[in-house]
Amino acid sequence: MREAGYSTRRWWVAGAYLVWVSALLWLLLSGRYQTFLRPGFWALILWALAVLLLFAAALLWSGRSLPNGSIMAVPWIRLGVLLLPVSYVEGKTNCLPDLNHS
Amino acid sequence: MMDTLGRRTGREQRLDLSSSDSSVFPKRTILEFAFLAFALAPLLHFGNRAFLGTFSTVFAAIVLEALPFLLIGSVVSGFLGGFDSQGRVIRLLSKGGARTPFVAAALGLLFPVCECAIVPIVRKLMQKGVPPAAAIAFMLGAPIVNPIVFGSTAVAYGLSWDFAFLRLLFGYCTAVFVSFVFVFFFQGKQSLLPSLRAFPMHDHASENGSGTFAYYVEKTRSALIHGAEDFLDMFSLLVMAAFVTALVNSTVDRSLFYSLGEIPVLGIVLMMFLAVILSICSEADAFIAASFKLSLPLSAQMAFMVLGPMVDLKLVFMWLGVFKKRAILLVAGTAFLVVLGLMLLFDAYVRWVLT
Repeated sequence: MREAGYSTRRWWVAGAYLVWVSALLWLLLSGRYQTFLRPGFWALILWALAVLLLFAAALLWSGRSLPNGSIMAVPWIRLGVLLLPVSYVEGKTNCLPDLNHS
Repeated sequence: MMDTLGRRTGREQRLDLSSSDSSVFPKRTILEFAFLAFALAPLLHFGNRAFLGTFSTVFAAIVLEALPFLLIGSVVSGFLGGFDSQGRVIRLLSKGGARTPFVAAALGLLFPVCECAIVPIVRKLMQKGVPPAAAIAFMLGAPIVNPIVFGSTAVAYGLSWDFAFLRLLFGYCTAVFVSFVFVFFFQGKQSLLPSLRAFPMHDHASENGSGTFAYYVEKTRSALIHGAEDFLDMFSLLVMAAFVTALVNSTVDRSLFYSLGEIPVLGIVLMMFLAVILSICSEADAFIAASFKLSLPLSAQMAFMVLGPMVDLKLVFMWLGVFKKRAILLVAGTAFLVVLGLMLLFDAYVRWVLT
């Protein structure tokens, strides 16, 4: 049961990281990160993208031993908190285009 | 706090903000649920579009700016957990006895990290048994006493290396002083949340076959999982902190601060409050402080740059996932008073030199 629980939860956590990867990739490729950050910040966004991708890969890559750490017991609600900024980024860059220049 | 079988007592569970046992709905889960319900409301109901536009920009900017640095901290913390199972770092930071805080506060010169990155690293170090004095000195000192901050401060003040050096010196002295006060009240892992004390450091990868390629691959995977776990825990606190900070930023009238800041002592105190509220990264805050050159005394600008990287809203939220509330109050309160004292002395010195 513990391993099954961990297995399901790590997929969700990895999924949340991959949503962030897509959001960062979209911000980077479209140049929209400049709505929030200085132009020179692209390198740090790229770094964040790469690390989150590695984290997701490590979680998805099933090894011999499973950690008994916090991933299994992470409340579902935390994943919602994790993804909240993405919805605000999306809201700012898409839903409120007229405010980008204010 | 643990019974003979190593189980956590009821009081310990009630105190535990970071506990993730969803069956008893710990405080952190309730907090996250309430936060999410509150934070989603503006997106579902576009009441004031202008306010929402400003708020969204500030909120997303804080999160996106802090994200890469938090990830640096999570990766370092993960590799400390995954690769340093023998505790070499602990031994390094435990050798000097009473002298350790003096060394730890200056470690940022070798490991330049900002305040967002430092919290997961310090959490891992304290879990592994690094003395609290060294951990606190490192946590408060490293975001100021580092070459990137030194450079950015000098550039922001027109290549004034003296002023940049003074900032490092004030940051160093405050970090060392607060760490000594901290160990007077907390020993060992007493200041940590019970859940962090209860979790022994575990090594995901087997020690068998050390030195082989497969061993290092497994160790790296283990380190990345450690990092992913730490990031998951700290990032949700960062999101909540950024939300509150953005809310305050979008609603508080800053012009009030500017007008009151013309009185020297009041200027120092107000700039310290502004530093706490704005929660700007230590690598960029000098440019904000420098924008007050014409309206505020140097001591007030310095107060903003010394206190901000040590204590701000964002950090306090992140500390909630590591320390007990009493320990947070002690660190924040002591740092505030020490910076205030130093800046009043600095103000008096500047006035004496000018006259």
